[in-house]
Amino acid sequence: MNNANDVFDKKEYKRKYDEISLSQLEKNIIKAKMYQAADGEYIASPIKYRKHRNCKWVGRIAVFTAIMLIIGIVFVQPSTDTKKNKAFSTSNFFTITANAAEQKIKSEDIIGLYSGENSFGPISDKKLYNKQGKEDYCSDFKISEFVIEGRGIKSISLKSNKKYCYFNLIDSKLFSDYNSLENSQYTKKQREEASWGLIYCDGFSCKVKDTGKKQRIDLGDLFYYTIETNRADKEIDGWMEKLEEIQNRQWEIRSQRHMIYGDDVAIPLTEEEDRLDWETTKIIDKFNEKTLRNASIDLTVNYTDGTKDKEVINVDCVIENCDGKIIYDSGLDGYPLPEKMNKEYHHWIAFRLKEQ
Amino acid sequence: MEETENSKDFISEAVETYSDMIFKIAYNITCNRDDAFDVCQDVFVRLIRNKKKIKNNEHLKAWLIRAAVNCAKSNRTQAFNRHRVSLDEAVNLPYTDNCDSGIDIISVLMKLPEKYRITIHLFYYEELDIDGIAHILSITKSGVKSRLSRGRTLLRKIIEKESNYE
Repeated sequence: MNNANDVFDKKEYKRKYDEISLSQLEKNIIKAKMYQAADGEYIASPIKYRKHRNCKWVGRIAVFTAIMLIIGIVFVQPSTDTKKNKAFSTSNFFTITANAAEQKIKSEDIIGLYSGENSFGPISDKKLYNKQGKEDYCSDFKISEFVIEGRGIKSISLKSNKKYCYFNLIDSKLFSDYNSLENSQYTKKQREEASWGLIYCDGFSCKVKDTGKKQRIDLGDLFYYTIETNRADKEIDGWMEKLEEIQNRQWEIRSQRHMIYGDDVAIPLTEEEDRLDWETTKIIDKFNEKTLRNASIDLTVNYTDGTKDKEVINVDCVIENCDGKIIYDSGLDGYPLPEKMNKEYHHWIAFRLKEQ
Repeated sequence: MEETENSKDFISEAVETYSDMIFKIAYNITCNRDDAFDVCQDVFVRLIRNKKKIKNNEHLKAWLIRAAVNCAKSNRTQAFNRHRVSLDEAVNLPYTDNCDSGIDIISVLMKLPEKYRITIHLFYYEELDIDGIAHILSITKSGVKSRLSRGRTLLRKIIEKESNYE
């Protein structure tokens, strides 16, 4: 069996999983159910075919209407470029939008960016200890719908300005300038070992294909924003100690529950586990908030004509309340983030544009 | 009549070829044999309803995997609510010990959060590539790699703790 040093034994996993299979009787039951369902389909088919024909016409009308609408928007509607917050030359410009936003983002605005995926856990699958001889943890934020729109854009560069805050991305021809990792307490090599080809970096550039038309680049899909623990900070260290204590307790309960139920069931949570889980969430929230305090990202847009422009984006983590500030959770119309949502989705990141 | 016969052939072939694959995926997510079997049936009944949308065998496989993941997730949510009990009730349940001697990789893996478990299964067992997994789970390639990496990290922690516990 594998041990902590040899984390995953692929062959053993396959061998064990090969044993999990259906009996011929179970397969026959499935077949019988399918025959039944198939018979039902044929009985219903005459009506369905008629519906299908109707749908085709409805579809055609819808497509025609959509095309007319697009033509109307493209050729009739006046350009909205001037409405946007930046226009640097006659042809080059860029704007930052969030969450499919149509809203204009001005300086000092806070844009609530939902982190579609935020995972928190130990920093490496290998034993990697820091200067304090302890294990570090990190949070990975995937920022949903972080969009740059503009014209004449050749590339976009992002650089994280705070220690313990950096990016992770996958190797792609799209990216360049990702060779530095000073914001981590680990070397780039240490951080990338056993990382499945993920690249960790303070900053990176992303090439943009210039089409001569307005471009829309969804940066949120390209990178994760990672923050790691600084255990030299006594407060963070204390939180992590507490977290480890809670996780050990959770583990103890889980093991007891496995003994009660066996392994082959979805094991119900106890009230104590719920409470511990909530405590864990609060600790992670505190860590996220403290580490992201005063964090910022330089966003530089390089144009095809050699000019460039820069914005600084402050990064905050929204946890409890918004202090009356407007945070958009949907860019379509923009409305304040409900308090309930703050509590449920503790991993909102608010980007705040900073005046240059 | 001929169409019915063709349909029976299609059903028989699909079940023989893919039912174990679906069952394994469903088991990976539901952690329970009975629930996995229910999921299997749901997926194949869905297949009958969506048969016309299937373009070829490759598409069929991808469609089945995606349907299995979705059905199993939905089943798991229902199962979780079904099984939720207080600790007092739990201690009265009959004791069953399914543990082999030593640490069993499947039971260790079952303790990972679902999103890591299914990603690891699709990568190692079904041997799907990163692109394929990203498509099926509707996440980015970077997300797949991140989950594989984080999954392994958590796996190490679990194995360490299991070793200490024993």
